[in-house]
Amino acid sequence: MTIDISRFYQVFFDETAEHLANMESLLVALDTAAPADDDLNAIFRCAHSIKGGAGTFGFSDMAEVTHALETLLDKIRKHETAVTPPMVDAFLRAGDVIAGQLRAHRGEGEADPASAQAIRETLASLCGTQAQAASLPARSPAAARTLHISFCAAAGASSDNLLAELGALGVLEVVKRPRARKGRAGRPGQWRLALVTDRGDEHIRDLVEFVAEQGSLALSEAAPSPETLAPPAAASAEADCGYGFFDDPAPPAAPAAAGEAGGSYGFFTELPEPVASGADGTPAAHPPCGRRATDHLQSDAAIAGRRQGDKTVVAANADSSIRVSVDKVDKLINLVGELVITQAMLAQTASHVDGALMERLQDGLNQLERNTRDLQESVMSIRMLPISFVFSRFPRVVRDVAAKLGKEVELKTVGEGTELDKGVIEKIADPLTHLVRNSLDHGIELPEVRLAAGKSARGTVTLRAYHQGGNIMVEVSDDGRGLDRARILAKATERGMAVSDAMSDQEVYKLIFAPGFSTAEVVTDVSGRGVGMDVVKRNIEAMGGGVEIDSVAGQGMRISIRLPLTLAILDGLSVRVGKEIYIVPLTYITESLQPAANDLRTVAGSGMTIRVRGEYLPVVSAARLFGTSAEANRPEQAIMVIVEAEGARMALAVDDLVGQHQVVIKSLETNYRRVHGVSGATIMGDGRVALILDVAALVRHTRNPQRLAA
Amino acid sequence: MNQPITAQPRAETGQHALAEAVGGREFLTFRLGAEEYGIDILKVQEIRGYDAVTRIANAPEFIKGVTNLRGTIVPIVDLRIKFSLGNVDYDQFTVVIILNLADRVVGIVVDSVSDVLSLAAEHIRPAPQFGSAVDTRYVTGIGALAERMLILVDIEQLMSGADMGLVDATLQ
Repeated sequence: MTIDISRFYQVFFDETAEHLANMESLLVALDTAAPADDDLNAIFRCAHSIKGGAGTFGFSDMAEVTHALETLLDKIRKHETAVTPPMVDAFLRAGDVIAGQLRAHRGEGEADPASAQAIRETLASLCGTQAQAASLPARSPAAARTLHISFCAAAGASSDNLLAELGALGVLEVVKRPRARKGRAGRPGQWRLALVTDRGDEHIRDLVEFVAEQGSLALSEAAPSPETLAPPAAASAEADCGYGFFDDPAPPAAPAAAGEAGGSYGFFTELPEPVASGADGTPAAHPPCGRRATDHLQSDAAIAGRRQGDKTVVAANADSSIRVSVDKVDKLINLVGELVITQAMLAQTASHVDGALMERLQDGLNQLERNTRDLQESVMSIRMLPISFVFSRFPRVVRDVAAKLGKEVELKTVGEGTELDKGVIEKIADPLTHLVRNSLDHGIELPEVRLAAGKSARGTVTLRAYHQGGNIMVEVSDDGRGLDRARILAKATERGMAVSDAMSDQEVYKLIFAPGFSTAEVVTDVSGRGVGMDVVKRNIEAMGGGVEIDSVAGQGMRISIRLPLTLAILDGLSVRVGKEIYIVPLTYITESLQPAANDLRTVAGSGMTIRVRGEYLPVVSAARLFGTSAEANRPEQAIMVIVEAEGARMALAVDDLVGQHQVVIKSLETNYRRVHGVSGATIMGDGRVALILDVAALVRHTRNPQRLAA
Repeated sequence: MNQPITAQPRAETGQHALAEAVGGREFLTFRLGAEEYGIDILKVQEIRGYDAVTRIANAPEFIKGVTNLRGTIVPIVDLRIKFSLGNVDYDQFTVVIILNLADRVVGIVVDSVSDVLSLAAEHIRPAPQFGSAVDTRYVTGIGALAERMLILVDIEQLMSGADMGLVDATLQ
């Protein structure tokens, strides 16, 4: 049984993480001046779903925070309170707190009860004070009046919060508290409150509904008559009548307004389920609220229509997707890979068949080949995700970091729909975050500096993704100050690096990828410690990608990341060493050549170098490296594959170049262990296994031979 | 147990039925040189011929390399080399036992596979301190059956041992 429950937990965790991410992106995109109702509703739904799930699974800390969040969101959603930037900040912080709690429940860290408490108080105070200060202008100001509230507290509900919240709305007087339960077994205690406020009934109702027993709430402006108060039955009748949406005949404006709002606006009917008991429909039934909805509708009709169209598309997408474990997909990919190999083997065998049958066999095999290719492509595409999965986190990052640094920054994203393998997506997120933070910290100047330089005060950071050949390019660019060549050179000299003024710009810029290199004058908590750029480069190269920098002083800089489409497939050159075939990933290869005898020189009698266009590169004999049976032919007869990794180049001497393939990467470590100099294995068309060389490790090894033992 | 035993050829099933009745276990037996070994049949995934392997650089000699087993890369260990036994040549009679151990798949090359035997508890004797090719740490007992003596090996322990070099040292 425990397994079952934990499985449901997993679903809840996944969904909550999704809701949080969704809420965050909506919040960041929210225009506080004119918030769209669809967005407000969507944000509310996210909070509500999290709260519901947290409650169901007994994660009360999350439920409490989301409750506070939801309460305020609900008011905004119903136009009782205008959304303000501080609120959005509070919502985002609440999202972080919930995410922290989520991690804690997943067993990945500690929850911080203090921050949860703090955010709840912030939200509660926003809920109270902002409500009075920042009501929507469209709202007709109601005169302060005395409201008499009576209700029966639901079992287990705490009234303290309610009293605090009501107290924030006006002058609250507790007329009657419920007596101790002892004497009145089985009957819930009844409260009577008098509140002097200018807020609408429906607002009070919403607050009280959370603690009141179903149907026991009664509101009246006149002093309550004894009958209304005493029997809960009478009170409940009144309450029902008060917020029964469709059968309320009293306010003549309500049905029309509500009908219009519901029909063309999709405001109230869009909720997939009743949000909280008594919350649905209530505001529409109330005349002032209905009018607001109509006003809003008329002014924003066009926008609303468009947004609703967008939403339908989103909803349709959500409906037609399923959640499948990556293991299953990987297994499928594996099997299809096998199918492709089997098909290749069949084709090879069939080419030796003669006779009348051969033609028909060939036809069938050709068909099979097409089908398997298509199948492989579709299966691979399952693992592909749009890069928006990564980009979507950046509006928040930019917002927070820019605010911290006192800069004005706009984030633009281009090509969010570009698809990448899930594995790449997961690994690219951290390096990209680092680059974006760097751009914000070092690239974009402070507003006054920008104005002085004749630029707009608001800087722009652009994230762009696109296809180029078999690769995906991801660019982070900014219109900031650009890289300072002189300062980089000065810093490099100071650190004792081998530099000269004659170096090209590209070479100078590459220095910032050296470990521990930072030109920042001040180390901030955002960046500037000089750890990172080297890690960024190493991580990207480990994926088989590369990094390039362009910069124009005073105009900005651009960092381009080249990534393979997928980590599961690699473009490789197959080379023969003795009787073995090895795969060299194409991304590392700069060229292959057959050396002239006088280009090869020995150094100190043992090491060999080759001269390639005036540059001397170390030669590594693959045969010696892998100890293949036959010692390599004389180097003059070998073919030199020039590879470059981590800024160093070397020549790998192989016996022959066999061909260029797309190979499916398989792990050696699944059943064996890590082998130095080998990054994985693949299965060739004839069913044999070929090892894929880890060029980066080989280059490191050449520089540092003592690491061979590793 | 109520199936009619008489309906089956007695000579073959008698022993099995007896063994199962007293909670015996089944062993796959194979030969390494002059010695006969038995391993738990449940660890055996399949038995196949010796395919071409891809050598791995700087691996010990007894690790022949890796092979493609329907899309899975499987290392092949030649126990004959590991234990310096038998004639080490590879032809159509060379046999590979594919083992499924815990979370990995490994192939072992042996001289020949004999049969599958059920051993009742009373046929399994404690392992004496004796000299066999296999380290006695991995010998769980001796199976005594008529004239045959089976060295029962905990193949999982044997294959994951440090001297096999099949598992990363850091994982040990």
